[in-house]
Amino acid sequence: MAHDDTIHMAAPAATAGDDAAHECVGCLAASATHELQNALAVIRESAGLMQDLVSLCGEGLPHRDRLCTMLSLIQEQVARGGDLAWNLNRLAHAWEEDGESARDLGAVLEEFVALARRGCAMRGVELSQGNGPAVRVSAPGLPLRASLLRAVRCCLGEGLADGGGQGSRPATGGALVLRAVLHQEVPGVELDFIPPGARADSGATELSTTSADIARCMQACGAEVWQAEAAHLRFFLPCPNCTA
Amino acid sequence: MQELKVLLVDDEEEFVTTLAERLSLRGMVTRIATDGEQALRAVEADPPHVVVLDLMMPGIKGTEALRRIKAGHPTVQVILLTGHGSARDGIEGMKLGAFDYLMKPLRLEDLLEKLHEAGRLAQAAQGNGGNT
Repeated sequence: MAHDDTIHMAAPAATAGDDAAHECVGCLAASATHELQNALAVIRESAGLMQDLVSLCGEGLPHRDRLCTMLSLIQEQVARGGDLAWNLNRLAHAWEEDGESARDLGAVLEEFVALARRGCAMRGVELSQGNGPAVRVSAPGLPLRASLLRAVRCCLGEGLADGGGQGSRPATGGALVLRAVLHQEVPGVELDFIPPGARADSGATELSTTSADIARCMQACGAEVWQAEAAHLRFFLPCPNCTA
Repeated sequence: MQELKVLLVDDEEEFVTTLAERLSLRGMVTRIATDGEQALRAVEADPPHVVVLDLMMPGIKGTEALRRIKAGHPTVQVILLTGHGSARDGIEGMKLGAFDYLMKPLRLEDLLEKLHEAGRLAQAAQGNGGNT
Protein backbone atom coordinates (compact mmCIF):
# COMPACT_ATOMS: atom_id res chain seq x y z
CA MET A 1 0.00 0.00 0.00
CA ALA A 2 1.57 3.28 -1.09
CA HIS A 3 1.90 5.95 1.56
CA ASP A 4 0.45 9.43 1.01
CA ASP A 5 3.30 11.67 -0.12
CA THR A 6 1.57 14.87 1.00
CA ILE A 7 2.52 14.30 4.62
CA HIS A 8 6.19 14.75 3.81
CA MET A 9 6.25 18.45 3.13
CA ALA A 10 9.82 19.12 4.26
CA ALA A 11 11.62 17.52 1.33
CA PRO A 12 11.67 19.49 -1.95
CA ALA A 13 10.97 17.68 -5.20
CA ALA A 14 14.06 16.05 -6.72
CA THR A 15 15.46 17.49 -9.95
CA ALA A 16 17.59 15.99 -12.70
CA GLY A 17 20.49 18.01 -11.33
CA ASP A 18 19.95 16.46 -7.90
CA ASP A 19 20.02 12.97 -9.45
CA ALA A 20 23.33 13.67 -11.16
CA ALA A 21 24.80 15.06 -7.95
CA HIS A 22 23.60 12.03 -5.97
CA GLU A 23 25.08 9.69 -8.58
CA CYS A 24 28.39 11.56 -8.45
CA VAL A 25 28.67 11.37 -4.67
CA GLY A 26 27.47 7.77 -4.64
CA CYS A 27 29.90 6.54 -7.30
CA LEU A 28 32.91 8.28 -5.82
CA ALA A 29 32.07 7.19 -2.28
CA ALA A 30 31.51 3.58 -3.39
CA SER A 31 34.84 3.50 -5.16
CA ALA A 32 36.71 5.10 -2.27
CA THR A 33 35.15 2.86 0.39
CA HIS A 34 36.02 -0.19 -1.70
CA GLU A 35 39.63 1.01 -1.70
CA LEU A 36 39.44 1.67 2.03
CA GLN A 37 38.26 -1.90 2.60
CA ASN A 38 41.22 -3.16 0.56
CA ALA A 39 43.63 -1.15 2.70
CA LEU A 40 42.03 -2.48 5.89
CA ALA A 41 42.28 -6.02 4.52
CA VAL A 42 46.04 -5.59 4.05
CA ILE A 43 46.40 -4.29 7.63
CA ARG A 44 44.29 -7.11 9.02
CA GLU A 45 46.21 -9.87 7.22
CA SER A 46 49.56 -8.30 8.12
CA ALA A 47 48.58 -8.11 11.79
CA GLY A 48 47.24 -11.65 11.54
CA LEU A 49 50.55 -12.88 10.13
CA MET A 50 52.38 -11.17 12.97
CA GLN A 51 50.06 -12.93 15.43
CA ASP A 52 50.83 -16.25 13.71
CA LEU A 53 54.59 -15.61 13.95
CA VAL A 54 54.39 -14.54 17.60
CA SER A 55 52.49 -17.71 18.32
CA LEU A 56 55.22 -19.78 16.64
CA CYS A 57 57.95 -18.09 18.67
CA GLY A 58 56.58 -19.51 21.88
CA GLU A 59 56.72 -18.14 25.41
CA GLY A 60 60.39 -17.08 25.21
CA LEU A 61 59.73 -14.13 22.88
CA PRO A 62 60.59 -10.82 24.62
CA HIS A 63 57.58 -8.53 25.23
CA ARG A 64 55.31 -11.34 23.99
CA ASP A 65 52.31 -10.28 26.07
CA ARG A 66 52.63 -6.65 25.00
CA LEU A 67 52.94 -7.68 21.33
CA CYS A 68 49.85 -9.87 21.60
CA THR A 69 47.89 -7.06 23.25
CA MET A 70 48.84 -4.51 20.61
CA LEU A 71 48.14 -6.88 17.73
CA SER A 72 44.71 -7.63 19.19
CA LEU A 73 44.08 -3.88 19.45
CA ILE A 74 45.02 -3.47 15.78
CA GLN A 75 42.56 -6.22 14.82
CA GLU A 76 39.80 -4.62 16.89
CA GLN A 77 40.32 -1.23 15.28
CA VAL A 78 40.51 -2.78 11.82
CA ALA A 79 37.18 -4.46 12.52
CA ARG A 80 35.79 -1.12 13.69
CA GLY A 81 37.01 0.64 10.55
CA GLY A 82 35.88 -2.21 8.36
CA ASP A 83 32.37 -2.04 9.80
CA LEU A 84 32.18 1.70 9.09
CA ALA A 85 33.59 1.27 5.58
CA TRP A 86 31.12 -1.54 4.87
CA ASN A 87 28.14 0.57 5.93
CA LEU A 88 29.45 3.67 4.17
CA ASN A 89 29.77 1.58 1.04
CA ARG A 90 26.14 0.52 1.43
CA LEU A 91 25.12 4.18 1.82
CA ALA A 92 27.13 5.05 -1.28
CA HIS A 93 24.94 2.65 -3.27
CA ALA A 94 21.70 4.12 -1.87
CA TRP A 95 21.21 6.42 -4.87
CA GLU A 96 20.78 3.28 -7.01
CA GLU A 97 17.76 2.15 -4.96
CA ASP A 98 15.02 3.41 -7.23
CA GLY A 99 12.13 1.89 -5.28
CA GLU A 100 11.43 -0.81 -7.85
CA SER A 101 12.82 -3.73 -5.89
CA ALA A 102 12.06 -4.56 -2.27
CA ARG A 103 14.72 -4.53 0.39
CA ASP A 104 14.92 -5.25 4.07
CA LEU A 105 14.14 -2.12 6.10
CA GLY A 106 16.06 -3.62 9.02
CA ALA A 107 19.23 -3.70 6.91
CA VAL A 108 18.78 -0.01 6.06
CA LEU A 109 18.38 0.77 9.78
CA GLU A 110 21.49 -1.28 10.58
CA GLU A 111 23.49 0.80 8.12
CA PHE A 112 21.98 4.08 9.35
CA VAL A 113 22.66 3.30 13.02
CA ALA A 114 26.29 2.39 12.30
CA LEU A 115 26.87 5.68 10.51
CA ALA A 116 24.84 8.00 12.77
CA ARG A 117 25.92 6.52 16.09
CA ARG A 118 28.81 8.87 16.69
CA GLY A 119 26.82 12.00 15.91
CA CYS A 120 24.19 10.95 18.41
CA ALA A 121 26.80 10.10 21.04
CA MET A 122 28.22 13.60 20.71
CA ARG A 123 24.75 14.81 21.77
CA GLY A 124 24.53 12.44 24.71
CA VAL A 125 22.23 9.95 23.01
CA GLU A 126 23.06 6.28 22.54
CA LEU A 127 21.67 5.19 19.18
CA SER A 128 20.83 1.53 18.60
CA GLN A 129 18.63 -0.76 16.58
CA GLY A 130 15.88 -2.76 18.25
CA ASN A 131 14.52 -6.15 17.28
CA GLY A 132 11.45 -6.14 15.11
CA PRO A 133 9.62 -8.08 12.45
CA ALA A 134 11.09 -8.50 8.99
CA VAL A 135 9.76 -5.58 6.96
CA ARG A 136 10.53 -5.36 3.26
CA VAL A 137 9.94 -2.07 1.49
CA SER A 138 10.18 -0.75 -2.01
CA ALA A 139 11.37 2.81 -1.56
CA PRO A 140 13.87 5.20 -3.15
CA GLY A 141 17.02 4.92 -1.08
CA LEU A 142 18.09 8.52 -0.48
CA PRO A 143 14.69 9.99 0.55
CA LEU A 144 14.28 7.13 3.01
CA ARG A 145 17.57 7.85 4.72
CA ALA A 146 17.01 11.60 4.60
CA SER A 147 13.67 11.12 6.34
CA LEU A 148 15.36 9.07 9.06
CA LEU A 149 18.06 11.69 9.54
CA ARG A 150 15.53 14.50 9.87
CA ALA A 151 13.68 12.55 12.55
CA VAL A 152 16.83 11.70 14.48
CA ARG A 153 17.97 15.32 14.35
CA CYS A 154 14.61 16.31 15.85
CA CYS A 155 15.26 14.00 18.78
CA LEU A 156 18.74 15.49 19.18
CA GLY A 157 17.18 18.93 19.35
CA GLU A 158 18.81 20.11 16.13
CA GLY A 159 15.45 20.90 14.55
CA LEU A 160 14.41 23.23 17.36
CA ALA A 161 14.66 27.00 17.30
CA ASP A 162 16.85 27.14 20.39
CA GLY A 163 18.80 24.02 19.48
CA GLY A 164 16.95 22.12 22.18
CA GLY A 165 18.42 24.23 24.93
CA GLN A 166 21.79 22.64 24.40
CA GLY A 167 23.45 24.88 26.86
CA SER A 168 21.40 23.49 29.74
CA ARG A 169 20.91 19.87 28.57
CA PRO A 170 22.86 17.13 30.32
CA ALA A 171 25.55 15.62 28.08
CA THR A 172 24.73 11.96 28.63
CA GLY A 173 22.06 9.42 29.43
CA GLY A 174 19.84 9.63 26.37
CA ALA A 175 18.83 6.63 24.30
CA LEU A 176 17.20 6.31 20.89
CA VAL A 177 16.18 2.91 19.55
CA LEU A 178 15.10 2.47 15.94
CA ARG A 179 12.95 -0.48 14.98
CA ALA A 180 11.42 -1.51 11.64
CA VAL A 181 7.66 -1.98 12.03
CA LEU A 182 4.50 -2.46 10.02
CA HIS A 183 1.73 -0.23 11.41
CA GLN A 184 -1.73 -0.81 9.93
CA GLU A 185 0.02 -2.23 6.86
CA VAL A 186 2.18 0.89 6.50
CA PRO A 187 5.94 0.18 6.73
CA GLY A 188 7.94 2.54 8.85
CA VAL A 189 10.28 3.05 11.76
CA GLU A 190 9.45 3.20 15.43
CA LEU A 191 11.63 5.66 17.32
CA ASP A 192 11.81 4.97 21.04
CA PHE A 193 13.45 7.99 22.70
CA ILE A 194 14.64 8.75 26.21
CA PRO A 195 16.02 12.32 26.26
CA PRO A 196 19.41 12.95 27.90
CA GLY A 197 18.98 13.66 31.57
CA ALA A 198 15.46 12.19 31.71
CA ARG A 199 14.85 9.74 34.53
CA ALA A 200 12.73 6.83 33.34
CA ASP A 201 11.93 5.93 36.98
CA SER A 202 10.72 9.42 37.86
CA GLY A 203 7.15 8.53 36.92
CA ALA A 204 6.74 12.01 35.49
CA THR A 205 4.11 12.05 32.75
CA GLU A 206 3.85 15.76 32.09
CA LEU A 207 5.67 16.68 28.93
CA SER A 208 8.63 18.97 29.45
CA THR A 209 9.02 22.02 27.19
CA THR A 210 11.86 20.36 25.31
CA SER A 211 10.01 17.09 24.87
CA ALA A 212 6.95 18.97 23.61
CA ASP A 213 9.13 20.80 21.10
CA ILE A 214 10.64 17.52 19.98
CA ALA A 215 7.19 16.01 19.50
CA ARG A 216 6.09 18.99 17.40
CA CYS A 217 9.29 18.78 15.33
CA MET A 218 8.71 15.07 14.72
CA GLN A 219 5.13 15.73 13.62
CA ALA A 220 6.42 18.30 11.13
CA CYS A 221 8.66 15.55 9.76
CA GLY A 222 5.63 13.35 9.19
CA ALA A 223 5.86 11.19 12.29
CA GLU A 224 2.95 10.10 14.46
CA VAL A 225 3.34 10.56 18.20
CA TRP A 226 2.59 7.29 19.96
CA GLN A 227 3.74 8.20 23.44
CA ALA A 228 4.69 11.54 24.93
CA GLU A 229 5.88 11.63 28.52
CA ALA A 230 8.64 13.75 30.00
CA ALA A 231 11.08 10.85 30.19
CA HIS A 232 9.90 8.72 27.28
CA LEU A 233 8.74 9.51 23.77
CA ARG A 234 7.71 7.10 21.02
CA PHE A 235 7.09 7.97 17.42
CA PHE A 236 6.14 6.17 14.22
CA LEU A 237 7.81 7.49 11.09
CA PRO A 238 6.22 6.10 7.93
CA CYS A 239 8.66 5.37 5.11
CA PRO A 240 8.39 8.01 2.39
CA ASN A 241 7.17 6.79 -0.99
CA CYS A 242 7.10 3.24 0.32
CA THR A 243 5.22 0.13 -0.57
CA ALA A 244 5.40 -2.93 1.68
CA MET B 1 45.79 -36.91 2.05
CA GLN B 2 48.31 -34.71 0.25
CA GLU B 3 48.84 -31.03 0.96
CA LEU B 4 46.18 -28.70 -0.31
CA LYS B 5 47.32 -26.66 -3.33
CA VAL B 6 45.76 -23.20 -3.40
CA LEU B 7 46.00 -20.43 -5.98
CA LEU B 8 45.13 -16.96 -4.58
CA VAL B 9 44.04 -14.36 -7.13
CA ASP B 10 43.63 -10.70 -6.14
CA ASP B 11 44.99 -7.45 -7.57
CA GLU B 12 45.95 -6.25 -4.06
CA GLU B 13 49.44 -7.75 -4.05
CA GLU B 14 50.26 -7.02 -0.38
CA PHE B 15 46.98 -8.58 0.71
CA VAL B 16 47.33 -11.73 -1.36
CA THR B 17 51.04 -12.20 -0.52
CA THR B 18 50.39 -11.97 3.21
CA LEU B 19 47.36 -14.22 3.01
CA ALA B 20 49.42 -16.80 1.09
CA GLU B 21 52.04 -16.78 3.82
CA ARG B 22 49.38 -17.31 6.51
CA LEU B 23 47.96 -20.27 4.60
CA SER B 24 51.45 -21.71 4.11
CA LEU B 25 51.99 -21.61 7.87
CA ARG B 26 48.89 -23.78 8.08
CA GLY B 27 50.32 -26.44 5.78
CA MET B 28 48.96 -25.40 2.39
CA VAL B 29 50.99 -25.07 -0.79
CA THR B 30 50.20 -21.60 -2.11
CA ARG B 31 50.78 -19.54 -5.25
CA ILE B 32 49.51 -16.10 -6.09
CA ALA B 33 48.30 -14.23 -9.19
CA THR B 34 47.37 -10.56 -9.41
CA ASP B 35 45.07 -10.64 -12.43
CA GLY B 36 42.81 -13.01 -14.33
CA GLU B 37 45.20 -13.75 -17.20
CA GLN B 38 48.02 -14.59 -14.79
CA ALA B 39 45.62 -16.85 -12.89
CA LEU B 40 44.64 -18.74 -16.05
CA ARG B 41 48.32 -19.30 -16.94
CA ALA B 42 49.00 -20.55 -13.40
CA VAL B 43 46.09 -23.00 -13.54
CA GLU B 44 47.26 -24.34 -16.93
CA ALA B 45 50.85 -24.74 -15.74
CA ASP B 46 49.99 -26.59 -12.51
CA PRO B 47 46.32 -27.04 -11.65
CA PRO B 48 45.64 -26.36 -7.97
CA HIS B 49 42.96 -28.00 -5.88
CA VAL B 50 41.31 -24.67 -5.07
CA VAL B 51 41.40 -21.18 -6.58
CA VAL B 52 40.41 -18.21 -4.40
CA LEU B 53 39.35 -15.61 -6.95
CA ASP B 54 38.57 -11.94 -6.40
CA LEU B 55 35.73 -10.87 -8.70
CA MET B 56 36.69 -7.19 -8.95
CA MET B 57 40.03 -6.94 -10.74
CA PRO B 58 41.40 -5.01 -13.69
CA GLY B 59 41.61 -6.90 -16.97
CA ILE B 60 39.32 -9.86 -17.65
CA LYS B 61 36.30 -10.08 -15.37
CA GLY B 62 36.39 -12.51 -12.47
CA THR B 63 33.32 -14.29 -13.79
CA GLU B 64 35.06 -14.79 -17.18
CA ALA B 65 38.15 -16.19 -15.45
CA LEU B 66 35.87 -18.53 -13.47
CA ARG B 67 34.13 -19.70 -16.61
CA ARG B 68 37.43 -20.46 -18.34
CA ILE B 69 38.91 -22.23 -15.31
CA LYS B 70 35.87 -24.50 -14.97
CA ALA B 71 35.78 -25.15 -18.74
CA GLY B 72 39.40 -26.31 -18.81
CA HIS B 73 39.66 -27.87 -15.36
CA PRO B 74 36.23 -28.87 -14.03
CA THR B 75 37.63 -30.57 -10.90
CA VAL B 76 39.37 -27.39 -9.70
CA GLN B 77 37.16 -25.77 -7.08
CA VAL B 78 36.79 -21.99 -7.09
CA ILE B 79 35.92 -19.82 -4.10
CA LEU B 80 34.90 -16.29 -5.09
CA LEU B 81 35.67 -13.13 -3.11
CA THR B 82 33.14 -10.34 -3.49
CA GLY B 83 32.59 -6.88 -2.10
CA HIS B 84 29.20 -5.28 -1.30
CA GLY B 85 28.58 -4.01 -4.79
CA SER B 86 29.23 -7.38 -6.38
CA ALA B 87 27.32 -9.73 -4.09
CA ARG B 88 25.02 -10.48 -6.99
CA ASP B 89 28.09 -11.55 -8.99
CA GLY B 90 28.87 -14.02 -6.23
CA ILE B 91 25.49 -15.63 -6.66
CA GLU B 92 25.88 -15.59 -10.44
CA GLY B 93 29.27 -17.20 -9.99
CA MET B 94 27.70 -20.11 -8.12
CA LYS B 95 25.54 -20.73 -11.17
CA LEU B 96 28.72 -20.78 -13.29
CA GLY B 97 30.17 -23.53 -11.11
CA ALA B 98 31.91 -21.74 -8.25
CA PHE B 99 32.09 -23.80 -5.05
CA ASP B 100 31.03 -20.87 -2.89
CA TYR B 101 31.64 -17.17 -2.33
CA LEU B 102 32.80 -15.07 0.60
CA MET B 103 32.10 -11.41 1.18
CA LYS B 104 34.96 -9.04 1.84
CA PRO B 105 36.24 -8.17 4.38
CA LEU B 106 37.43 -11.71 4.76
CA ARG B 107 37.72 -13.64 8.04
CA LEU B 108 40.53 -16.16 7.92
CA GLU B 109 38.49 -18.70 9.87
CA ASP B 110 35.71 -18.57 7.26
CA LEU B 111 38.20 -18.94 4.40
CA LEU B 112 39.92 -21.90 6.06
CA GLU B 113 36.60 -23.67 6.50
CA LYS B 114 35.69 -23.18 2.83
CA LEU B 115 39.18 -24.18 1.67
CA HIS B 116 39.03 -27.46 3.55
CA GLU B 117 35.55 -28.24 2.23
CA ALA B 118 36.46 -27.33 -1.36
CA GLY B 119 39.80 -29.08 -1.07
CA ARG B 120 38.23 -32.36 0.01
CA LEU B 121 35.95 -32.25 -3.03
CA ALA B 122 38.78 -31.40 -5.43
CA GLN B 123 41.15 -34.02 -4.07
CA ALA B 124 38.48 -36.70 -4.25
CA ALA B 125 37.68 -35.76 -7.86
CA GLN B 126 41.32 -35.46 -8.89
CA GLY B 127 42.51 -38.54 -7.06
CA ASN B 128 45.32 -38.44 -4.55
CA GLY B 129 47.70 -37.79 -7.42
CA GLY B 130 46.31 -34.27 -7.59
CA ASN B 131 46.08 -34.08 -11.41
CA THR B 132 42.97 -32.77 -13.24
